[in-house]
Amino acid sequence: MSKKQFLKMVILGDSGVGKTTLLQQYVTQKATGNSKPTIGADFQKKEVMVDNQQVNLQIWDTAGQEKFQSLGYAFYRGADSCALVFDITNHKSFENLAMWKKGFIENASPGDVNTYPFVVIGNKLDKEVNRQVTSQEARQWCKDNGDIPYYETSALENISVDSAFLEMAKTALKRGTQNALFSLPESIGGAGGAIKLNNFEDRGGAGAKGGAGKKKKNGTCC
Amino acid sequence: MQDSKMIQNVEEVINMDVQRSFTKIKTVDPQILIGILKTYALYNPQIEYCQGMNFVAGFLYLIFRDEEKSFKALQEIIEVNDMAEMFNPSLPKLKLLFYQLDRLLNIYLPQLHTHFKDEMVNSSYYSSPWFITIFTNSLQQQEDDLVGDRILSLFDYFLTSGWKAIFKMSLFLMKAHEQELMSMSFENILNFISERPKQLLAERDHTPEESMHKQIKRATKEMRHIQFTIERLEQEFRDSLEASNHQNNKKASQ
Repeated sequence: MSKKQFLKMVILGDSGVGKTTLLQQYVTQKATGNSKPTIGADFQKKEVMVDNQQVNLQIWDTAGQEKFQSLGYAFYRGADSCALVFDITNHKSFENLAMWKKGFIENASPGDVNTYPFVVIGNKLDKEVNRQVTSQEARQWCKDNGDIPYYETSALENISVDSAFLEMAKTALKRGTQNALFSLPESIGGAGGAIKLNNFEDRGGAGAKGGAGKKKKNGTCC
Repeated sequence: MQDSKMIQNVEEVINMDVQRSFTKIKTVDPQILIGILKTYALYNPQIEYCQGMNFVAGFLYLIFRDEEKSFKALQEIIEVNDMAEMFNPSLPKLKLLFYQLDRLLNIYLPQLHTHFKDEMVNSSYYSSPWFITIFTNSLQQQEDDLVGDRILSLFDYFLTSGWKAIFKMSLFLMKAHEQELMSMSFENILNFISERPKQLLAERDHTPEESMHKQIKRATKEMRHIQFTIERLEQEFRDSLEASNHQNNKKASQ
């Protein structure tokens, strides 16, 4: 029985660059283009085949307003790959990539930064006429930042969305997932009864330790 | 210079958020909501604007139908409930609320709390919109401009009782779905608890025999001394912050 792989990914970038729409397009093959501002964070899951291997993706969509970065630790930790998204019609969103990348590195402690699977996505290709960031400029930035793969997408018209996410999954798998190779059970139905009630008071509080991706499964059945 | 640049940035975010928040409700003029939020950003430069305030402002406008009254209500609500601390750049109050919610679950619904802990679900993953928008993000589900009874009732409860109302609403939700949640894993738990309140609050009570407020009170009747516990937990949070700061300082000076 082949093991199912699990990858956690996060999507970062300024407010309104199209993070939610990208994810919506990728997961549901539909995009309405009027998604609501994300508050805190949200995630979607998707099952894909990468190099003949079944992979479960858990993709986190984060709030674009800078002040939410201070919650970042909870969402970034354990991420196997990170998409930095900007809007090609908004130069400032491109300039802010450096800030997002730095924030991610500080919060996620992703190990060797130079080999970390980042992907840069320039979105809103459907608004080419209003372009403010040239492909060349974006590629140069990616090159200067450790040869990060660069994709130009239209989340609305579904251009290159799949390839960008697939690239993230592939490079993440190649690097080796941060989440140990647990085979994820389909469901842990009934686990409720198996839980020993160790009811001492947990003073850890919100986000004290552990990330969403680092799932410790005591109940993995073999 | 710095100021005008700052205002320009925040203006962009406000414009964008308002235009994509109430797309289905035709009678809400985006320009008015933009006006309310921009005025607030100028009035309180410490906060300016925080994503989520768009829903609160929209909710207030749907009730008052008046830009000035809505602004004043927003101003007052933020002031009275210490929400400036929640919206300011490092969101300190939000972190306190996360902590309190986790501990309240621990105290009042211990089995569920243990399950959440096993599944690595902590309150910061799902409760941001509950606190930041006081559940008014449920409005995004609705297509007409009549604010539903349930969200109205909950908001009234918040106006009279403050954060206790939001904590009780949270406990009410968790308790009502405890059995289902107990059998779910990480991803399903988060999907469920982020969608459920939006559906619940957007539904209309056609025969409102019991208001949302009463339902919450009834369901949480046996959870004793919630107000006292909330206060105690705030102290606990501050103490542990202080202790960890102290530790860090000690480390830094060594």
